[in-house]
Formats: sequence, C-alpha cells, structure tokens
Amino acid sequence: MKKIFISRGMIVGIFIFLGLIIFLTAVFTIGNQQKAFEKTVTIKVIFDDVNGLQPGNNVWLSGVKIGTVKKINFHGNTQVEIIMNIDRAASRHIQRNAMAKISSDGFIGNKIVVIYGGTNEAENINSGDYLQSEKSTGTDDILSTLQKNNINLLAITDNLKIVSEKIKDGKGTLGKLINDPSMSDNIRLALIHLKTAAVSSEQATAKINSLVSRLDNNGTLIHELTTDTSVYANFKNTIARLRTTSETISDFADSLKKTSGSLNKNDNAVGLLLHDKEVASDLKEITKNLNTSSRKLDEDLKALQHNFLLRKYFRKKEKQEKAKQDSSKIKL
Amino acid sequence: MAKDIRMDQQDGQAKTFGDRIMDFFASLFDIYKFIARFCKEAFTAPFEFRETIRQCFNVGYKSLAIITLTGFITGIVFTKQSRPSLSEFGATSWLPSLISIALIRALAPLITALIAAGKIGSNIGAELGSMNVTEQIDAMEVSGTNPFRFLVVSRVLATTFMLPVLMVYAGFIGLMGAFLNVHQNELTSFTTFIHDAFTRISFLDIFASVFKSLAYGFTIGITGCFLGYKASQGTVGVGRAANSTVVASMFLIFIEEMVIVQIVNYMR
Repeated sequence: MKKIFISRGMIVGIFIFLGLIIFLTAVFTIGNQQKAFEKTVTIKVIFDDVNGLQPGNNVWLSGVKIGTVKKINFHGNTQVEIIMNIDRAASRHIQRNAMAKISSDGFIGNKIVVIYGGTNEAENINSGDYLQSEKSTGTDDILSTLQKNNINLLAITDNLKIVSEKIKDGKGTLGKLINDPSMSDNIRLALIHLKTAAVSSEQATAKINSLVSRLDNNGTLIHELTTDTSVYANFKNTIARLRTTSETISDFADSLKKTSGSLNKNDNAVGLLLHDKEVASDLKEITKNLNTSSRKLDEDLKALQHNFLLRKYFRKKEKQEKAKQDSSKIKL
Repeated sequence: MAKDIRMDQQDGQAKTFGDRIMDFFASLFDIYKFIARFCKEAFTAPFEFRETIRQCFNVGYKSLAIITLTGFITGIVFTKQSRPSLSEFGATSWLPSLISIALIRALAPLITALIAAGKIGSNIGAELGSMNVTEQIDAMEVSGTNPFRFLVVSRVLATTFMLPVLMVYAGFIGLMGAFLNVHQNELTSFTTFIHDAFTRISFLDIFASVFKSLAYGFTIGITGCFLGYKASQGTVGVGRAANSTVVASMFLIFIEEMVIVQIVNYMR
C-alpha cells in the first residue's frame, strides 16, 4: 500500500512539475517578447493624434522591435504623451534628433511607433528624453485621398461615356473611322498600297544592296578609297587643292565684287562714266566732235597728199607697194 | 434543510413560489456555511496529505488523457475553422496569435473546467453521495475521523490546484495541435509559430487564466462535495447529486467566466 502511495505521489509531483515548467516557459517567452526582463530606458513623444495606439504596442527602429508603449497620457488640451520602454542596448542607436511616428505593422495590422532618422553628430538619447514627432498618414487621410480619386474617376468615366457616345454616333474622326464603311474600304486600300509600297521598297533595297556590293568590288573608287591608303591620300590632296582653288576663286569673286561695287559708285572715273548722265552726254558730244574732227582731218590729210611738199613722198610709197604686189604675183 | 425538502416531496404537497424562494435562500446559506467550514478545516491541522495527494492523482493525472485529447482537437479544429475568415484578408499569418489568444485567454481554462466538471465533478458528487446515503460518513464520524476534512477538504484542494495544471497542459497541447495545422498549411516553423503565438499574450492573460482555473477548480470541488455531502433518497439521490454537480458546476463556471473576463478587461 505504501509503495502505491509513493508511486502516486511521484506521479502527481512529476505532473505538477511538468505543468510548472510549461507555465514558466510561457511566462519567460512572454517576458522575453515584451522585454520585461531586460533593462530599459524610458522615452517620451508627444503626438497630436495617436490613431488608436494602445499600451503594449510595439516600438520599432529600422524594422526591429526595440520596446513597447508603456503608457499613454493626455498632454495639455489636445495633445497626447506616449511613454515608451526602450531596450537599453537599442537606445544607443537612437539620437536625440531622431523622429517618431505612428504606423502599423501591415495594412490592417496593429499600431506601432516607428523611430527613424537621427544623425551621428547628435548625442544618444537618455532616459526621460523627448523625441520629435511627425504626423503620420492615418486611415482617414488615406480614405480622403481615395475619395478624391473616386471623384476624379467619376469625372473620367463621365468623359469616357461622352466620348464613347460620340464614337457610337459616328462623330469625330474616331467615330467616322469606326462607323463609316467607306473609311474601312479606304483603310483596306491604304493597306494594300502600303503592302505594294513595302514590296517596292523591298525591291529597291535589294537593288541598293546590289549596288553597294558592286561598289565594294575591287577597282571601284569606293573600294579603293576605303582600302587603298595611297588613293585616299591622293584624294585628300586633291580635295585640299580644290579647297585652295575655291578659296582663290572666292578671293577673286570678292575682288570682283568690290570692283563692281566701285563701278556702281560715282567717285571714280569708270563709275562716273557708267552712271553720270552729264558725263555720258559730254562723252557723246566729244565723240561727235571727234567724228567731225576726224572727217575734217581726213579731208585735210587728203589735201596734204596733193600738196607739193608731200606729193613726192606719197608717190614713192605707192610705187613701193606696187612693186611688192608684183613680186608676190611672180612668186605665185 | 435537506430533510425538510425530502419530507415535502414524500408528502406530495406542491410547493408554492414563496417556498421555493425560501428554499433557494436556505440553500445559499447552507453553501455559505459549507464554504466557511471548508476554509476553517483547510487551514487547521491535522492535514490529510495522503488523501489530498491521492485526490490530486485522481483529479489531475487520471484526467490528463482526456484533457490532452480535447485540447489537441480543440487546437486543430479552431485553427481549421479560423483559417477561411483570415485568408479572406490574406492574414493567415495572424493564425498563431489568434489561436493563442483564444486558447490561453478563454478556451484552455473553459474546456478544462467543463471536462473536469463532467468527469471529476460527477465523480465527486456520486462518490460522496453514495457514501452519504450508505451512512459511511456517519460511520467515519463515529470512528473518530473528521469526514469533512478527509473527504471534502482533500477533494476541493485537489480540484483547486490540479485544474490550473490541467489548464496549462490543455493550452500547451492545444497550441501544438494548432501548430500542426498551421505548419501543414502555411509551412510555418515552430520558432515563428511560438514567437507569433506569444506576441499578443501578456502576463495579465496568463495569470488571469491561472486564476480562472483556480476558481473553476474550487467551484467544481465545492459543488461536487456539497451536493454529494447533502445527497439523500438512496441511489436516486446519488444519481441526482452527480447530475446536479455537473449542471451546477457548468452553470457557475460560465457565470464566473463572465465576471472574471469583465474584471480582467477592466484591469487590461
């Protein structure tokens, strides 16, 4: 009987012991997750709106849980003060100029406090310090934006309705394109023409290819230019000379232009001759006088030939010319 | 009081509404006296250690199999039934925390208590009832043994302290069942499951559950002992005591659950 009692006592003891182990494991698991057994520092933030944040919600730094919200108090008339317990080890990574905002771990997840920012130049945060807060986008803001989008979407669909009705009624280019049967025939014809043009262009391309391949044969200029360096050098020299020649021609043309410009002016003799009417009339008069003078001079010279002083000379000259003519006839 | 009720029933006289009200208050006073006597006997020597250990063995160890099975099935079924609702939101990753909240906050203490009420409560009611109707309790008094200390205190202490242990087992086994189902469907690792499961559980939840189990255990023990200790009318009275123990215990458990949840939510 005693043996049975001991056995029962042991079994009950083991039973209770195992139950306690499970219980303590659960307690330590919860404590570990809530950082209940770790040294913490207290940080405070003041928000205008905490969007339903509750004590026990998590605090994240760079996506890592570093603490929990300990307490939420009203601050002043409208603001809310949040007191957070942060793991002391993690607090070394938070600077005094870091910011805090309310966020959520997922679209419909729990509210969390996200600490971000901060520069290395700033001091690390200490227990009791306040962090700056940033107003986060709440569900109401998102819904408000969505409402605006809905209104815009409604306007767009209304416009689309009008456009589709116009198209249905055959108004506008698109409506005619869809509703007018002749348009489809035209498009079909245009496509046939396009097809023909494509065939032609294909043939043209083939010919161009053939031409290019022929140009690339030995002995052709293009081939020599691209392959023979001496031909290329000669060609280059020729081009250089042509450039020099063209420059010379250009200079000559400039000079000619200047000369023609001078001719158009009255400040020189030729320009005066060309453009001054008085000079032209004077010149005409001079020419007329010269004609008259030369005619008279001719008469005078003829008269001189019959003068007794010069008559002998002219006769002698006639005789010499006559003799020259006779000798040339004899030679023939 | 029990003798008066028996006499009324034997005489076949119909009870008026006023009589029933008076009976109810008389029963309340009897229960109060019973609990007060328990408190007095429980904290005064000599203590019935051996009998208490034996009752712990009967209440705790012998109920382990059914509690394990029930907890395991509860975990699997609850997970299976919760998945479609969460998968509509693409939030099946919340299953571990949802199940752990449901199990640890409510299901584990409640299921353990209901199973214990059915198995242990009826056993205590029937056992003490049969001892009472066969006058074994009177014989114990004659032999110099304190029957209240030996029969009632040991059983109530055993149920009070074994229920929390059974609850812890039920919760653990339920979570394991849930893990099997979650792992099968979402391929979640054990570490991730445990981490997620305890994410939303606080010390208040776990201590509230332990407190609830203590209260349920005490309720089952005291109800079974009271109804069994007051049983009469032979074998019919024994059956009635066993049946009444189960019904009254479950009824009281649900009322206590409601009250404790309100208190815990106030403290949360």
